[in-house]
Amino acid sequence: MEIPTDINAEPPNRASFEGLESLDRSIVRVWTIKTGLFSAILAIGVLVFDIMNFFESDRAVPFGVYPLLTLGVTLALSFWIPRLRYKYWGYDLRAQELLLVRGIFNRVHTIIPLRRIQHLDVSQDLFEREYDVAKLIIHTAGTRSSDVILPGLSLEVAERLRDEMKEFITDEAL
Amino acid sequence: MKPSNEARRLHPLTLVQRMIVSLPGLIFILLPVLRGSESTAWFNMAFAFAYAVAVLPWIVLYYVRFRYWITPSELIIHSGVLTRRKRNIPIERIQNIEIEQGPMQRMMRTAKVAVYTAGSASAEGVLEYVSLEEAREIRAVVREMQQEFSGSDTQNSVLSSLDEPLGQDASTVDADLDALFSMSPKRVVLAGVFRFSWLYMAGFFSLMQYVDPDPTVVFAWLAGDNFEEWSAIIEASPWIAGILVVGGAVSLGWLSGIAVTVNRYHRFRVRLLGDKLHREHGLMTLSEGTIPLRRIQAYIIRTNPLMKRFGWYRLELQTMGIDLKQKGFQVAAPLATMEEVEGIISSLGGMTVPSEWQPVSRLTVRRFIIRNAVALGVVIASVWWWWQGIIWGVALLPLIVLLAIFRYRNMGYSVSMGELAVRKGVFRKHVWLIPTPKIQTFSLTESFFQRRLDLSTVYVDTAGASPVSAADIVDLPEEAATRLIQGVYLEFNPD
Repeated sequence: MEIPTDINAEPPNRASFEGLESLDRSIVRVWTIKTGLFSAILAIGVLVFDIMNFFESDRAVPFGVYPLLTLGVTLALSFWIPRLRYKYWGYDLRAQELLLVRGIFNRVHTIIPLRRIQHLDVSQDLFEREYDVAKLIIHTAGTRSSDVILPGLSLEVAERLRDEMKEFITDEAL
Repeated sequence: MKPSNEARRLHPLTLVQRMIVSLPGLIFILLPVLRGSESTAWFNMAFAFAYAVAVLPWIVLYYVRFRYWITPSELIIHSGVLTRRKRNIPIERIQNIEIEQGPMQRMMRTAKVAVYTAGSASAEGVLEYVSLEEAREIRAVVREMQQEFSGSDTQNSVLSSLDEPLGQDASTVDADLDALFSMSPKRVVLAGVFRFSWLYMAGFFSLMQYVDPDPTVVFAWLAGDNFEEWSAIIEASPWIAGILVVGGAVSLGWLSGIAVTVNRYHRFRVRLLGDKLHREHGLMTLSEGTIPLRRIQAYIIRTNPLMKRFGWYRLELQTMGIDLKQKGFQVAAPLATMEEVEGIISSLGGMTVPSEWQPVSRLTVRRFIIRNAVALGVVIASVWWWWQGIIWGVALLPLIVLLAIFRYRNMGYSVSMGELAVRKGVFRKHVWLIPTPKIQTFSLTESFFQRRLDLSTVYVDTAGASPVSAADIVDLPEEAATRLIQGVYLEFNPD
């Protein structure tokens, strides 16, 4: 069958994030703190390992090199990755659908038709609460898309989106 | 029976059945005692005693405390001995009522009634056991009330024809004339022939391990008078003996596969009644159930190279949470020809199996080879330190190339009015027919490497789709992928 060509709906806007809403900037801080904490824990683990091998006679590198190296690399990554994640995250709430585009390496474009939404959650963890950001969790009946997460919205926006989208929830049974 | 506020109880024979069912547990506990190992005998005896003291009153209490009601709007079940559970199932939420009769239930003319609702497992109700008449009545009442809800009574006449005894000889009830699909005994056995499974064999051997028979005794019993001769032969040629053992195990798995299939699909029959698909099957355990057509999320046609060689296919219906045991896949035809499959599909939803498929990008062959060659290289390199013979693993390379080509040839998609079809698989061949209105979400994914080649993977999510074997269309040229999503989405959402 010929695929209709007179498309007035916008294409899922592949390569660029132009025209898409970006996340709240504060999420970069939240992500940085989270990955930073993770890298600290990792460095402590390596440090413990290093201490346990303190009295080994045939040490190739002096004490403290591995933990510091780990800390350095992971801290650098926890500075970069949140910024990249932020850069490659976009969403757009349209009349009939929610469009999500995200991913640093794997770029994923998802179209969620609004009438497919089963229910909506707005959730905040400890760090997110500190910076007043929230994530919107969109549940559909699909298997992979049973919970699609839209992170890094300011609480206000998250609640507004939820209220706008919840109008579309149908009680149509599957 | 009319809906009323009167509390109902399970069939009294439930007590007997539950006790019989609990007996194997007791024997299991007492097995060491029965086999006469002295050391732990007292412990097991005490354990068995405690078991009897706890279980028997529990069975009685469970029966006493189990009550259910059928009110005009709800099915209410109160159950539980220590933890009381009160469950209200709104009638209009009930998707499917399945009546199941095992051998014991058939002897006692009772049945298990399972009420399935959409979505969560916790919202389900099971009545174990009620009398067969009661089971039928419950089903009839629920259907009647559902009809009232939907405001139509056109199907009552059709549905009343369902009130025939479960498992009655097919020849006495309107034969197979109105059956959409039915299987002759020969076909059922054939379905079993194609259904080799290691699973049943594994089960058999773990059972053997528990019983722990003495191999020499078994062997002596098998060999009979010629014990000496046989052992001489085996000692003389261990290879042949080994092959025989493996062959024996394989044929055991094969035969058990046939037995299980015959037991499950004996007299398999699906009929179309109004807007519901009615299915019944089983040799020892009879089961019958209905699937409302509008609950079907996708049609899946499966086969493998061997089955395909003889022109056989299996048709499954993807549903949402109707039967959790079957992971949301209802078998509509365990073994059927393509014409039969096409016939069933077109009468269920008016869909067609496409005859022409659009290929994905040829680059997928290259990507598959590189991906797997790299993985193979990593494995070889890491094992190399311990065992240099692994280098012969390189011989797998041509196999990867062959696999990549077959994979490419078997992958395809097709868009037509109201449906998206995806086909995939070398050994396990799948065809998914997804009705456009049933799509949940659309996604287009590009990995880092795909982006450099302008390729995309397209996936439409459906309710109840398998997380393992899913209908992704891998490595489409990016332009085709975008057009595909746009086209399907436009049909899904015309404005």
